[in-house]
Amino acid sequence: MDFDAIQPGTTLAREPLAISHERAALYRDAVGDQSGLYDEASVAPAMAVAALAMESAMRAVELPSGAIHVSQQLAFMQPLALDRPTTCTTTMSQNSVRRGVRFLVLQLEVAGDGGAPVMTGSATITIKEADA
Amino acid sequence: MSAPTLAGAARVVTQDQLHLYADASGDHNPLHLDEQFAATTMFGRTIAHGMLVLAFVSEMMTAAFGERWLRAGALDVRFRAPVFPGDEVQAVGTLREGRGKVYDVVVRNQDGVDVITGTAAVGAGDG
Repeated sequence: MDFDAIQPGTTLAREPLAISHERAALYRDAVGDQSGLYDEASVAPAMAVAALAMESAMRAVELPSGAIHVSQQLAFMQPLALDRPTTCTTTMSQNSVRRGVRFLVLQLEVAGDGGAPVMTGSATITIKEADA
Repeated sequence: MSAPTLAGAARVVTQDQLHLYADASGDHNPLHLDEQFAATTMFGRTIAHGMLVLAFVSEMMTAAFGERWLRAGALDVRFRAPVFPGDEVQAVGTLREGRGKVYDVVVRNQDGVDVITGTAAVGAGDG
């Protein structure tokens, strides 16, 4: 991807995101989170929503393999019911190069029916210009 | 009344777990999965996904605040050091005085290295 061509404020992706029972179970096995809360309420772990939003963002940006995830902000507004359709939007909010390292800040928004926010966040990614 | 300190379970991160997490999250960056590729990076070997390690903080907050965390939780963290397969890590939270339900959180490895630092806050939510 030609990172120089992406202006801050550019929407990189807007795509559906839903977490199935199977995906939630796979996620919980992977992180070892066996809280009964998710079964009782039939909702996804908050970080499963964040992880899948990040996956959407990384696919949109076509990050090189050497990209480093250096910081993360997340805010959770409502539990995400399993199988509930949402929309995940990724926006480039910052794109700069300092001393041979590119800094990307990606804004993440997951919204449900009618645009009601489920989760928002931002991720800072660094890429050595030699790897880009 | 919020607990002054929170502690998550100590977890040993394994390479198998990184493969499981890659499948669950869709993040198949070879830095986490491919020993040969990882050997060419600044880390020298595979490292855990930051979002996997951060999940241990969210798990700790969920245990403490239940659904309220899902409704009004917030994280602001930096990934400060890599977590390698075989490392044991534990999330800990310390309530800030006079700041409502804002915790300074850290994930620390077996050598006492802070691999994640930041804050976790819980708002009122509507529940």
